[in-house]
Amino acid sequence: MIILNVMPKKIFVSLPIKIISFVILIIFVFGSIATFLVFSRVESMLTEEKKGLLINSLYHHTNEINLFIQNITNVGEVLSTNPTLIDYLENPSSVEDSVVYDLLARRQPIYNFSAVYLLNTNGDTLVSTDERFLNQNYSFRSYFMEAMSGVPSFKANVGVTSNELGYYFATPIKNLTSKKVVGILVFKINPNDVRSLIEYHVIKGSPSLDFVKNANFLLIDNHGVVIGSKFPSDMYKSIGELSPEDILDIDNNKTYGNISVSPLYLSEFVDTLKNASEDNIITSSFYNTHTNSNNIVAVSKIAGQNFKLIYIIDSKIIDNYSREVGIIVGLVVLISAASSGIILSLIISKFLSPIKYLINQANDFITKGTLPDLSLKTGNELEQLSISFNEMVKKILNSKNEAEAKIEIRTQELLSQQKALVNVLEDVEREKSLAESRQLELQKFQLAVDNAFDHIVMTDEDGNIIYANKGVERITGFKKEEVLGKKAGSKELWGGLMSLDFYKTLWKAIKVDKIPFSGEVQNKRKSGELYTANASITPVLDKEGTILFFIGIERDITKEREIDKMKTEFISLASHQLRTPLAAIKWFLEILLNGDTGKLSKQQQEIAENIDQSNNRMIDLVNSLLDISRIESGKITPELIPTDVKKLVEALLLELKNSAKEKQLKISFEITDSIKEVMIDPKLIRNVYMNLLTNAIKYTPSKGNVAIKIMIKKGMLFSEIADTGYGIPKKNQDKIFGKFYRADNITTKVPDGNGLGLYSVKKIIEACKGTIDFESKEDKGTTFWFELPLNIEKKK
Amino acid sequence: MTKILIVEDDKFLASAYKLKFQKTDLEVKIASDGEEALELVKTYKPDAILLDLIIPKLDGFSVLEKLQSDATFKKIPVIITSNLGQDADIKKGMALGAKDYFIKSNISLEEIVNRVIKLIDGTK
Repeated sequence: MIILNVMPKKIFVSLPIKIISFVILIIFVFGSIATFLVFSRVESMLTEEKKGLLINSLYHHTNEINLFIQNITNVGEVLSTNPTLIDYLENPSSVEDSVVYDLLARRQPIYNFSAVYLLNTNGDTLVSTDERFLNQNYSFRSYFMEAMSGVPSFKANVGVTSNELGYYFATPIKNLTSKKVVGILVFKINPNDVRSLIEYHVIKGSPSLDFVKNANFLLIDNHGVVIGSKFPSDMYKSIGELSPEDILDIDNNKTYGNISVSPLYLSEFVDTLKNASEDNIITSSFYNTHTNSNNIVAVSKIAGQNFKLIYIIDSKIIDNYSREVGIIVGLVVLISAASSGIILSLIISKFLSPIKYLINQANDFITKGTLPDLSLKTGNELEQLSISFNEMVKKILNSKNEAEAKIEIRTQELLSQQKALVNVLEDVEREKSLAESRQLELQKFQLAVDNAFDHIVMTDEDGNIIYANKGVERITGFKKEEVLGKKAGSKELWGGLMSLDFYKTLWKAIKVDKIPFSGEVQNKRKSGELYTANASITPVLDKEGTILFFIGIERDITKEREIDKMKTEFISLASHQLRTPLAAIKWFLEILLNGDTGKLSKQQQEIAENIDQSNNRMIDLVNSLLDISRIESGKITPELIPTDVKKLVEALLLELKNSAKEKQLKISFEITDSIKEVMIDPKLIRNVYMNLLTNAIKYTPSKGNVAIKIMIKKGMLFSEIADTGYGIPKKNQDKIFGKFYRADNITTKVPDGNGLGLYSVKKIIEACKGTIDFESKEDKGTTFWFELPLNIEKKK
Repeated sequence: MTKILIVEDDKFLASAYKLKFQKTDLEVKIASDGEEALELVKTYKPDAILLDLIIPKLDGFSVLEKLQSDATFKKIPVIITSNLGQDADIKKGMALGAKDYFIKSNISLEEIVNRVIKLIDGTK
């Protein structure tokens, strides 16, 4: 007794703890060494890698700027060979000023230039889209001087009078035969275009780098002076001291107007800067005394220009990255040491538990005399021991209980046999009446299927027909006897006309995925006549999911399809015939209103504008009617493409800006930041926003508010358009989505409107599997909202 | 001078085109059916084509197909200006190589002129 009690205690206390502590120690020591090694390697690797990424990013960024300049160069080249311009510069009286002006003015909006102007060889402005430049002389500007030498020139200057920075692109215009420069064409580039080009943005093909966002970007001109930067304080600072030549040049050309250039903190970097060439991006590190930190700098040269693009990034950002990695590795080591300890202790206690169990049982047997249960499943000697032990105990027990047990079993058997007999008799009786009523039901059911209008077949799991109703003969022309036992929809019968892919998808759906298949199929009647059918095939499964048979139902929709086709052709023709005279009216009015055929009197102008407005209403009506007939003929199938909703709505608001401004409406737009691209049909959904927004603007009295909110709600894209308008009277509310329906209160206030907008909105939303609803109070305002599925699973 | 061929059978629309293009430095010729259009492509050698779809003798889609099958004519940019506006028509026109598809009643002449100029600037 004493031996048994003391021995196990010694084993249990010492062994597991010893093993566990030893393993944890090993993991901890090796882990710490690994952490240290990783941490020391990571820092240098990350610095190199980030440098590489920085170069890559700068490379793409530079390319983008090059492309921008290349585009402008191309426009300049095309225009500079325009014979009208050359004729005008050589002999100004030979061409009308207005034709030259039109030539320049048309390019301005297309390329978003701030101004386009034409200088003669003296630097006088002859024609300009910005009249402030007219009669000015720009011969002192470096872009003029450079272009006069025969090459295009891109320069940044501060305006002498405006004191604002401008970017100018000058192209020499030459006589096509003598190649003599006859004038200079100047594009003033929109400073916003340059700014958005220099600032951080995601560039196509470039890796998107979070840490580049924190970099400073500098655009440096030929003097080494900053002409573009993230921070306004960097502007017009030079990289290092200016050379005397540069100072003279800047004074003569009034490059930076009245601003005096002072050096920037990058003077250590002057030499590196000089060495950067078009295909050589240079990086270097230096200590920035300005911010008291280590900086990494990368610089590239803009092609063909003496401009350079510089990225400056604080090394701290990279240090933080390596520290993060170090911490993560350290944490991983700690967690793995701790979890190894726990797992090990669990394993050991599991291994030792049979012994503990055996000891406890033996102890109980010795002290209390209770019968031990020693059935162990350890698969080793311990199990053998327990089995022998058990056998011995069992034998004693068995001989004692055997007699009693035998009697008990016999009695039970007899009772249950009697019970079973009674049950069987009852079951037979019940089954009989059930079968009778089932038979009746089945007969009714078969009668219904037999006489159904549609073509219905039942096949075995290989597609062989085991049943066909009367509809089969009526539609296909094949008699019941002809089809039984043959493969449904085979060439021999009415099918086999679809592509191989079609049949593959069909069989995969019904046999592999075991789901119903439905689709439109082209079939052939016994007479050889083709027909279109809407088919659905459904596998019928038993409880285990094994296919019992298939049910195929087809409906002949040939006539419907023909009517559809005729309808589409009618829409097509009608649209063409209606739109042609409308287009003629529109264009002639445009010519009249534009003054192209002479200036109109005030009254004439007013009348022409009224006709134009009515005509545009007519065009809108025709467009709406066409949309509606397309929706109603089921022609609208949403085409889901990743769409930036924010951009879509912003573009719409830009379009509607003028009509909102006229009524002094305040328009606000809120969208959850995380909504980037969603899978919607941009054309259709644009139509929805357009209709709801034009309604909101149209039916809100001046100085009111219109608010748009877009968010994700319950996994749906939720949009809300609220106005403070006339509202929809309660009695009209249930009809507001009806065709040609307009609420009573607005027909007099806003006569313009065809009552088709909300109808088509609702139809579109329904086609996109969304919902739309609204809330409105008369003279308080209306809020429309709609939800669209996000269709995430289709996103790739 | 840059030359534009306009294929338009409607007399009114054709004269509107003429009036508008007079004010630019672009030279314009009108073809009033598909066969005349193909003939003028050969003799007039336009830098760009505005093409209507429903035109006599040979429809616009066929004209476009014929142009695309010829190595030299293929390079001439074509803008479809039609009053057909079904998605299927637009997709077909763009698939046949048109650079743009405009529904005439929904666009101003000014916009058409600007688009033509941008297209020509880009191909020169």
